[in-house]
Amino acid sequence: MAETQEFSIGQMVRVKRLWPTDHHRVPFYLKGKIGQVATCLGPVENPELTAYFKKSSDQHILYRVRFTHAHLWGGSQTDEIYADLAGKWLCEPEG
Amino acid sequence: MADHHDHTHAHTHTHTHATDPDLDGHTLLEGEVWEAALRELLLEKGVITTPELNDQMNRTASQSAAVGASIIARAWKDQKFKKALLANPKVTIADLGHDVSTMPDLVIVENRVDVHNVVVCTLCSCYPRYMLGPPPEWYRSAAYRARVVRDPREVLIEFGLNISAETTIRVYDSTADLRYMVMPLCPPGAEDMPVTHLQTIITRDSMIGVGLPKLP
Repeated sequence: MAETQEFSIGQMVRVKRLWPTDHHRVPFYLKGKIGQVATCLGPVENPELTAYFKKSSDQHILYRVRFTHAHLWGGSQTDEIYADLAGKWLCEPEG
Repeated sequence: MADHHDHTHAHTHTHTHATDPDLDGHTLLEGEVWEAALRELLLEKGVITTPELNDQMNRTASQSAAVGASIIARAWKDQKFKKALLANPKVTIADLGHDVSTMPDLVIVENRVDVHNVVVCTLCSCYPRYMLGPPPEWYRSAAYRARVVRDPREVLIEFGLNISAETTIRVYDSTADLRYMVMPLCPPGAEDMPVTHLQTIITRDSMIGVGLPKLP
């Protein structure tokens, strides 16, 4: 079953602060950080399963999320970092 | 290395390195031993065949940044093509006659006067090989991957690129299965050059975002 889109473009989201030891596609420097959904890239295969040759009908919804350099590192107000993150890794900023 | 290589290399093993004629007098690195072992096992067990291996090696060897440069040069000259390329890169590249069947999905991000794009893969070293060929060593280094997200301006200065403080540096961290490459700006004065000339000034580094096209 495909996950449905749960975040809208422009919405602020927080990257979940989870530390699984299994393969996952979230760099540590983004964990717990707040960004803004720039684009919804649609459903993709779940790499947390395909990395182990596990097949699943479960798909990830992928979002391109924008983070400011100032928020991540306390530096430049103008520079930014975009990363492609699955919806299951995102939550409300308060969460 | 010393503990298992203290014998001289003039030892008497009798098997030949039929597929590795270049190895004469060369001590194998650990990675080369693993590669040979894995390759020979895959061939022996029939997982892959020699023609398949040769085809893939030919494909890999023929990939270079010249492919990306020719496509970007064409986009600079042809606005309609550029629009299609940015909107739907893979289909547009296939329409030029390229076999993109094994190419991962691609995103081309366009530099603007106020936005300079840079590509990295902090988790591993994802790279648009079809467009740019094999990645340079520094692209895979921990130093580039860690530092370009943390201090992009300083890293770009080390590459000889001083981006104005008013220009946003936008770093794309390829964390999913999409590959990213940069469409640099056509340098002023180059607009009237023919595509064949333009493609020679579009460097690999300018399509990663750590360089700019170089006018002769």
